[in-house]
Amino acid sequence: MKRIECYEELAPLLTAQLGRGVVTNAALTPEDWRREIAAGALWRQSWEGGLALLRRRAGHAVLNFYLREPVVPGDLAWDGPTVLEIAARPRDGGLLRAADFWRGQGFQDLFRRERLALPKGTAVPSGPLAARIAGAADAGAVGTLLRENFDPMTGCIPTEEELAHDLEAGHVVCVDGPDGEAAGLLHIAPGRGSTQLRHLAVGETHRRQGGAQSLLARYLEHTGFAKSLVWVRTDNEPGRRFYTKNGYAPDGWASAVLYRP
Amino acid sequence: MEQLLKILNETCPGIDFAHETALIDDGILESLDIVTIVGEIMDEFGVELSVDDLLPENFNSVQAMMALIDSRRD
Repeated sequence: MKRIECYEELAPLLTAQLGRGVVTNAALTPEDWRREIAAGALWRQSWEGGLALLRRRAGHAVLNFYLREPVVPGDLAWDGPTVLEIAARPRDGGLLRAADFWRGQGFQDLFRRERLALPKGTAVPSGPLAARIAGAADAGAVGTLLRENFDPMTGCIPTEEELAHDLEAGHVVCVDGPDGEAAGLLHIAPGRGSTQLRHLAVGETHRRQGGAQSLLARYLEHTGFAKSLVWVRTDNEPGRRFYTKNGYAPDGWASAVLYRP
Repeated sequence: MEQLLKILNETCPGIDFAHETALIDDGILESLDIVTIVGEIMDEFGVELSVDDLLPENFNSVQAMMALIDSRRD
């Protein structure tokens, strides 16, 4: 594997993958790639008909790939713990076959997720707690909530730098506990025409007080009631119930999260 | 334009490509759809596109996609 040193090195590799019959799970923007490269975290491996891009994290790596069908097997020259997610609709046969390819490379199914959507213009009732837009001073409490409530490998936990950026940009909503510290958070990924709800968590001692409802209502208001998307694990029945109660419904996208130890 | 509409309708059925003008902004097309569409466009129109062409504004409408194709034919 080779570390990618600059975006100018990556761009031709990505361009070379464009063509009929190529499937990918890489939905990252040039800014996303640049951030990974700047952090020294992006590594690549090419083979005939395939490109693997590994985003290294503490203790594991996240795999993005481009595969040209029919897929030519290529051994991944990386033996650390690796996770990959393949999101697809039922009509995306190539991506579904790609999942089988990686299973053949030793990856195992960890869990599945389903995407739920809330149409733009939808407001939901607030809960009893007051939710507010978090700021830089909340970094410690918000970071702790993220680490306590999301898996370090599959939870897409932002780095300290990413969290600082998102707090500065107003992409985190929080509710406070009695001590005035953030006791619940909702983390937003803004988009064009829609926003994605990346993380929603309320600390264990503050649950069942309507905090999540307050966070959701404030988030929708904060984003101008734009279309909202959220990925929910299929085994997270309480989470799914919460979103569907508030008007979210499946939009046809589902994903498989695979892992190789 | 007819050729492009045929590609789009076959690649992503059920979308009113002839009239939609905010395919990306309204979340009708996803980034992974764009990769598929670009592959088809390159093959059918014989044009070369690069990863830097994968901008949302180039895929918001059939007219924008046609303009991108035409710019690569020049």
